[in-house]
Amino acid sequence: VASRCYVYAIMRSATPLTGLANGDDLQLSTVAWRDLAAVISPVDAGTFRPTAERVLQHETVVEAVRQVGSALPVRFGTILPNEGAVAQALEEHHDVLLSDLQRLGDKVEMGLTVLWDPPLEPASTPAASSDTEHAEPLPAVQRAGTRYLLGRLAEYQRENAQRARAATMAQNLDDVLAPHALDRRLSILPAPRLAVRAVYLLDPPGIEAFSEAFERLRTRYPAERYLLSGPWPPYSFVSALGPDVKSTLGRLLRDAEGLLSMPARSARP
Amino acid sequence: VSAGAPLDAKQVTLLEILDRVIDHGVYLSGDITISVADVDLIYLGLRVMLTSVERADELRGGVIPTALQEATSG
Repeated sequence: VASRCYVYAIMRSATPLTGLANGDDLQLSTVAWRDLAAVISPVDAGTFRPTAERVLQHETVVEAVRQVGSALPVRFGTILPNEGAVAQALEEHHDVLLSDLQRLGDKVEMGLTVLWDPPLEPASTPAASSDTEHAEPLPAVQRAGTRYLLGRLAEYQRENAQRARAATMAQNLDDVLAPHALDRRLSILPAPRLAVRAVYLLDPPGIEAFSEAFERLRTRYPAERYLLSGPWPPYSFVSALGPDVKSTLGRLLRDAEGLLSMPARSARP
Repeated sequence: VSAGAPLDAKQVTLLEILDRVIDHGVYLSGDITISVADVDLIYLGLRVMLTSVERADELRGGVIPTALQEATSG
Protein backbone atom coordinates (compact mmCIF):
# COMPACT_ATOMS: atom_id res chain seq x y z
CA VAL A 1 0.00 0.00 0.00
CA ALA A 2 1.49 3.33 -1.09
CA SER A 3 -0.45 5.42 1.39
CA ARG A 4 1.14 6.85 4.50
CA CYS A 5 -0.35 8.18 7.73
CA TYR A 6 -1.47 11.77 8.00
CA VAL A 7 -1.75 12.71 11.69
CA TYR A 8 -4.36 15.22 12.90
CA ALA A 9 -4.51 15.00 16.67
CA ILE A 10 -3.41 13.21 19.83
CA MET A 11 -5.95 12.00 22.35
CA ARG A 12 -6.36 9.38 25.03
CA SER A 13 -6.60 5.87 23.66
CA ALA A 14 -9.74 5.30 25.73
CA THR A 15 -11.60 8.03 23.84
CA PRO A 16 -13.87 6.45 21.22
CA LEU A 17 -13.52 7.92 17.75
CA THR A 18 -17.10 7.63 16.63
CA GLY A 19 -19.67 9.90 15.10
CA LEU A 20 -17.24 12.37 13.56
CA ALA A 21 -18.55 14.37 10.63
CA ASN A 22 -16.81 13.15 7.45
CA GLY A 23 -14.93 10.65 9.58
CA ASP A 24 -15.84 7.82 7.25
CA ASP A 25 -15.08 9.82 4.10
CA LEU A 26 -11.60 10.62 5.37
CA GLN A 27 -11.10 7.06 6.64
CA LEU A 28 -10.16 8.37 10.07
CA SER A 29 -8.79 5.83 12.50
CA THR A 30 -6.51 5.72 15.52
CA VAL A 31 -3.09 4.33 16.34
CA ALA A 32 -2.60 3.73 20.05
CA TRP A 33 0.40 3.34 22.29
CA ARG A 34 -0.44 2.74 25.93
CA ASP A 35 -2.81 5.52 27.04
CA LEU A 36 -2.28 7.73 24.01
CA ALA A 37 -3.71 7.54 20.51
CA ALA A 38 -3.11 9.45 17.29
CA VAL A 39 -5.96 10.26 14.94
CA ILE A 40 -4.84 9.46 11.41
CA SER A 41 -6.05 9.00 7.88
CA PRO A 42 -4.33 7.42 4.88
CA VAL A 43 -2.70 9.86 2.50
CA ASP A 44 -0.70 9.56 -0.67
CA ALA A 45 2.37 11.56 0.28
CA GLY A 46 3.43 11.76 -3.34
CA THR A 47 0.42 13.81 -4.31
CA PHE A 48 -0.16 15.69 -1.05
CA ARG A 49 -0.24 19.44 -1.68
CA PRO A 50 -0.75 22.06 1.02
CA THR A 51 -3.81 23.74 -0.44
CA ALA A 52 -6.28 25.98 1.33
CA GLU A 53 -8.74 23.09 1.30
CA ARG A 54 -6.21 20.82 3.01
CA VAL A 55 -5.54 23.42 5.69
CA LEU A 56 -9.24 23.87 6.35
CA GLN A 57 -9.77 20.10 6.40
CA HIS A 58 -7.00 19.67 8.95
CA GLU A 59 -8.56 22.24 11.23
CA THR A 60 -12.04 20.78 10.75
CA VAL A 61 -10.89 17.31 11.79
CA VAL A 62 -8.99 18.62 14.81
CA GLU A 63 -12.06 20.54 15.98
CA ALA A 64 -14.32 17.52 15.40
CA VAL A 65 -12.01 15.27 17.42
CA ARG A 66 -12.04 17.79 20.26
CA GLN A 67 -15.83 17.59 20.27
CA VAL A 68 -15.44 13.92 21.19
CA GLY A 69 -12.89 14.41 23.94
CA SER A 70 -9.68 16.10 25.05
CA ALA A 71 -7.14 16.27 22.26
CA LEU A 72 -3.98 18.04 21.16
CA PRO A 73 -3.74 19.53 17.67
CA VAL A 74 -0.89 18.19 15.55
CA ARG A 75 0.98 20.46 13.19
CA PHE A 76 -0.37 20.61 9.64
CA GLY A 77 1.41 18.37 7.17
CA THR A 78 2.59 15.71 9.61
CA ILE A 79 2.88 12.53 7.56
CA LEU A 80 4.56 9.40 8.89
CA PRO A 81 5.50 6.33 6.83
CA ASN A 82 3.17 3.87 8.53
CA GLU A 83 1.24 3.07 11.69
CA GLY A 84 4.33 1.65 13.32
CA ALA A 85 6.09 4.98 12.95
CA VAL A 86 3.09 6.74 14.49
CA ALA A 87 3.16 4.40 17.49
CA GLN A 88 6.91 4.93 17.78
CA ALA A 89 6.42 8.71 17.84
CA LEU A 90 3.82 8.33 20.58
CA GLU A 91 6.21 6.18 22.56
CA GLU A 92 9.15 8.53 22.04
CA HIS A 93 7.22 11.62 23.16
CA HIS A 94 4.81 9.92 25.55
CA ASP A 95 5.51 11.86 28.73
CA VAL A 96 5.44 15.28 27.08
CA LEU A 97 2.32 14.46 25.09
CA LEU A 98 0.50 13.10 28.12
CA SER A 99 1.46 16.13 30.17
CA ASP A 100 0.31 18.47 27.39
CA LEU A 101 -2.92 16.53 27.03
CA GLN A 102 -3.65 16.95 30.73
CA ARG A 103 -2.70 20.63 30.61
CA LEU A 104 -4.26 21.63 27.29
CA GLY A 105 -6.60 18.90 26.09
CA ASP A 106 -9.79 20.77 26.95
CA LYS A 107 -8.43 24.33 26.68
CA VAL A 108 -8.81 26.78 23.82
CA GLU A 109 -6.85 29.73 22.57
CA MET A 110 -8.03 33.14 21.38
CA GLY A 111 -5.99 35.13 18.89
CA LEU A 112 -5.69 38.89 18.95
CA THR A 113 -4.22 40.98 16.17
CA VAL A 114 -3.72 44.73 16.39
CA LEU A 115 -3.39 46.48 13.05
CA TRP A 116 -2.06 49.99 12.90
CA ASP A 117 -0.75 52.55 10.52
CA PRO A 118 2.84 52.52 11.70
CA PRO A 119 4.12 55.92 12.80
CA LEU A 120 6.22 57.02 9.84
CA GLU A 121 7.63 60.26 11.15
CA PRO A 122 11.12 60.32 9.71
CA ALA A 123 13.97 60.45 12.15
CA SER A 124 16.14 63.51 11.84
CA THR A 125 18.67 62.90 9.11
CA PRO A 126 21.67 65.18 9.38
CA ALA A 127 23.16 63.66 6.23
CA ALA A 128 22.47 66.65 4.04
CA SER A 129 24.03 69.20 6.36
CA SER A 130 27.00 67.20 7.55
CA ASP A 131 29.08 67.88 4.46
CA THR A 132 28.80 71.64 4.81
CA GLU A 133 30.25 71.52 8.29
CA HIS A 134 33.56 70.25 7.01
CA ALA A 135 36.17 72.80 6.04
CA GLU A 136 37.16 70.48 3.23
CA PRO A 137 34.33 68.55 1.59
CA LEU A 138 34.64 64.82 1.78
CA PRO A 139 35.29 62.91 -1.39
CA ALA A 140 32.10 61.89 -3.14
CA VAL A 141 32.50 58.25 -2.29
CA GLN A 142 32.79 59.06 1.41
CA ARG A 143 29.77 61.38 1.26
CA ALA A 144 27.74 58.58 -0.26
CA GLY A 145 28.94 56.18 2.42
CA THR A 146 28.11 58.62 5.17
CA ARG A 147 24.66 59.23 3.76
CA TYR A 148 24.08 55.49 3.58
CA LEU A 149 25.12 54.93 7.18
CA LEU A 150 23.09 57.87 8.45
CA GLY A 151 20.11 56.56 6.52
CA ARG A 152 20.54 53.17 8.14
CA LEU A 153 20.81 54.82 11.54
CA ALA A 154 17.61 56.79 10.95
CA GLU A 155 15.81 53.62 9.90
CA TYR A 156 17.09 51.83 12.99
CA GLN A 157 15.90 54.65 15.23
CA ARG A 158 12.51 54.69 13.55
CA GLU A 159 12.09 50.94 14.01
CA ASN A 160 13.11 51.22 17.66
CA ALA A 161 10.56 53.98 18.23
CA GLN A 162 7.83 51.91 16.57
CA ARG A 163 8.77 48.84 18.57
CA ALA A 164 8.64 50.82 21.81
CA ARG A 165 5.16 52.10 20.97
CA ALA A 166 3.99 48.62 20.02
CA ALA A 167 5.44 47.20 23.25
CA THR A 168 3.53 49.78 25.28
CA MET A 169 0.38 48.89 23.38
CA ALA A 170 0.95 45.17 24.06
CA GLN A 171 1.44 45.87 27.75
CA ASN A 172 -1.81 47.86 27.86
CA LEU A 173 -3.66 44.99 26.17
CA ASP A 174 -2.11 42.39 28.39
CA ASP A 175 -2.95 44.27 31.58
CA VAL A 176 -6.62 43.99 30.65
CA LEU A 177 -6.70 40.48 29.14
CA ALA A 178 -4.16 38.46 31.11
CA PRO A 179 -6.31 38.29 34.28
CA HIS A 180 -8.89 36.38 32.21
CA ALA A 181 -6.43 33.87 30.73
CA LEU A 182 -4.38 30.91 31.89
CA ASP A 183 -1.37 31.76 29.77
CA ARG A 184 -0.42 33.92 26.81
CA ARG A 185 2.13 34.54 24.08
CA LEU A 186 2.83 38.03 22.80
CA SER A 187 4.61 39.05 19.64
CA ILE A 188 5.63 42.69 19.33
CA LEU A 189 5.63 44.23 15.86
CA PRO A 190 5.95 40.99 13.87
CA ALA A 191 5.45 43.09 10.75
CA PRO A 192 5.30 46.85 10.19
CA ARG A 193 1.51 46.94 9.91
CA LEU A 194 0.95 44.54 12.78
CA ALA A 195 1.64 46.21 16.09
CA VAL A 196 0.84 43.18 18.21
CA ARG A 197 -0.15 39.59 17.75
CA ALA A 198 -1.16 37.80 20.90
CA VAL A 199 -2.65 34.47 21.79
CA TYR A 200 -4.37 33.68 25.08
CA LEU A 201 -5.05 30.27 26.59
CA LEU A 202 -8.48 29.93 28.17
CA ASP A 203 -10.82 27.53 29.83
CA PRO A 204 -13.88 27.44 27.54
CA PRO A 205 -16.18 28.81 30.27
CA GLY A 206 -13.88 31.84 30.44
CA ILE A 207 -14.42 32.88 26.83
CA GLU A 208 -17.33 35.19 27.61
CA ALA A 209 -15.48 37.14 30.31
CA PHE A 210 -12.43 37.36 28.05
CA SER A 211 -14.54 38.71 25.17
CA GLU A 212 -16.15 41.28 27.46
CA ALA A 213 -12.72 42.42 28.60
CA PHE A 214 -11.72 42.70 24.97
CA GLU A 215 -14.72 44.93 24.24
CA ARG A 216 -13.69 47.22 27.09
CA LEU A 217 -10.23 47.30 25.60
CA ARG A 218 -11.51 48.44 22.21
CA THR A 219 -13.40 51.23 23.87
CA ARG A 220 -10.38 52.33 25.84
CA TYR A 221 -7.98 52.31 22.89
CA PRO A 222 -10.02 53.20 19.82
CA ALA A 223 -7.18 54.41 17.61
CA GLU A 224 -6.10 50.95 16.43
CA ARG A 225 -7.97 48.18 14.64
CA TYR A 226 -8.43 44.93 16.49
CA LEU A 227 -9.18 41.44 15.30
CA LEU A 228 -10.20 38.81 17.82
CA SER A 229 -10.45 35.23 16.61
CA GLY A 230 -11.26 31.94 18.21
CA PRO A 231 -11.81 29.80 20.08
CA TRP A 232 -9.17 27.64 18.40
CA PRO A 233 -7.52 24.41 19.52
CA PRO A 234 -4.47 25.34 21.63
CA TYR A 235 -1.91 25.08 18.82
CA SER A 236 0.28 27.82 20.25
CA PHE A 237 0.77 26.28 23.68
CA VAL A 238 1.89 22.72 23.02
CA SER A 239 5.40 21.89 24.12
CA ALA A 240 8.15 22.27 21.55
CA LEU A 241 9.23 18.77 20.60
CA GLY A 242 11.07 19.58 17.42
CA PRO A 243 13.44 22.24 16.22
CA ASP A 244 12.50 25.85 16.69
CA VAL A 245 10.77 26.57 13.42
CA LYS A 246 11.12 30.06 12.13
CA SER A 247 7.65 31.55 11.98
CA THR A 248 6.20 30.94 8.56
CA LEU A 249 3.58 33.59 9.11
CA GLY A 250 6.25 36.05 10.19
CA ARG A 251 8.01 35.43 6.90
CA LEU A 252 4.74 35.77 5.02
CA LEU A 253 3.94 39.03 6.71
CA ARG A 254 7.37 40.48 6.06
CA ASP A 255 7.28 39.36 2.44
CA ALA A 256 3.81 40.77 1.94
CA GLU A 257 4.72 44.01 3.66
CA GLY A 258 7.73 44.30 1.45
CA LEU A 259 5.66 43.91 -1.67
CA LEU A 260 2.93 46.24 -0.45
CA SER A 261 5.25 49.02 0.60
CA MET A 262 7.56 48.94 -2.40
CA PRO A 263 6.27 52.15 -4.01
CA ALA A 264 6.65 54.12 -0.78
CA ARG A 265 10.15 52.85 -0.18
CA SER A 266 11.32 53.48 -3.69
CA ALA A 267 10.15 57.08 -3.38
CA ARG A 268 12.54 57.76 -0.54
CA PRO A 269 15.76 59.53 -1.38
CA VAL B 1 -8.13 32.40 -3.11
CA SER B 2 -7.59 35.09 -5.64
CA ALA B 3 -5.20 37.92 -4.98
CA GLY B 4 -7.58 40.30 -6.71
CA ALA B 5 -10.76 39.22 -4.98
CA PRO B 6 -12.31 41.26 -2.20
CA LEU B 7 -11.46 40.18 1.28
CA ASP B 8 -13.99 37.83 2.72
CA ALA B 9 -14.35 36.04 5.98
CA LYS B 10 -13.01 32.81 4.53
CA GLN B 11 -9.73 34.43 3.60
CA VAL B 12 -9.23 35.96 7.01
CA THR B 13 -10.20 32.71 8.68
CA LEU B 14 -7.69 30.88 6.51
CA LEU B 15 -4.99 33.33 7.49
CA GLU B 16 -5.73 32.78 11.16
CA ILE B 17 -5.68 29.02 10.64
CA LEU B 18 -2.41 29.21 8.71
CA ASP B 19 -0.85 31.09 11.57
CA ARG B 20 -1.63 28.19 13.84
CA VAL B 21 -1.42 24.97 11.92
CA ILE B 22 1.81 25.65 10.04
CA ASP B 23 4.03 26.82 12.85
CA HIS B 24 2.33 25.41 15.90
CA GLY B 25 0.76 22.24 17.14
CA VAL B 26 2.37 18.96 18.14
CA TYR B 27 5.55 18.26 16.21
CA LEU B 28 5.89 14.50 15.95
CA SER B 29 8.66 13.94 13.50
CA GLY B 30 11.46 15.52 11.57
CA ASP B 31 9.93 13.90 8.53
CA ILE B 32 7.29 16.56 8.39
CA THR B 33 5.96 17.35 4.95
CA ILE B 34 5.98 21.07 5.49
CA SER B 35 9.69 21.26 4.81
CA VAL B 36 9.02 19.91 1.36
CA ALA B 37 5.93 22.00 0.80
CA ASP B 38 7.30 25.24 2.18
CA VAL B 39 7.25 27.05 -1.12
CA ASP B 40 3.61 26.19 -1.72
CA LEU B 41 2.63 27.39 1.72
CA ILE B 42 4.50 30.64 1.28
CA TYR B 43 2.68 31.13 -2.00
CA LEU B 44 -0.69 30.32 -0.48
CA GLY B 45 -0.07 32.55 2.51
CA LEU B 46 1.16 35.44 0.41
CA ARG B 47 -1.95 35.43 -1.70
CA VAL B 48 -4.07 35.50 1.44
CA MET B 49 -1.95 38.23 2.94
CA LEU B 50 -2.07 40.43 -0.11
CA THR B 51 -5.83 40.48 0.00
CA SER B 52 -6.26 40.70 3.73
CA VAL B 53 -3.79 43.06 5.35
CA GLU B 54 -4.33 45.85 2.87
CA ARG B 55 -8.08 45.49 2.83
CA ALA B 56 -8.85 44.83 6.45
CA ASP B 57 -11.20 47.80 6.51
CA GLU B 58 -13.53 45.89 4.24
CA LEU B 59 -14.20 43.54 7.11
CA ARG B 60 -16.61 46.05 8.49
CA GLY B 61 -20.09 44.91 7.65
CA GLY B 62 -18.87 41.65 6.16
CA VAL B 63 -20.04 38.19 6.99
CA ILE B 64 -17.95 36.97 9.89
CA PRO B 65 -17.83 33.31 10.82
CA THR B 66 -18.41 32.18 14.35
CA ALA B 67 -14.73 31.63 15.04
CA LEU B 68 -13.76 35.09 13.88
CA GLN B 69 -15.25 38.03 15.67
CA GLU B 70 -14.47 41.04 13.59
CA ALA B 71 -13.60 43.77 15.96
CA THR B 72 -12.48 46.63 13.82
CA SER B 73 -13.05 49.93 15.47
CA GLY B 74 -13.09 53.41 14.04
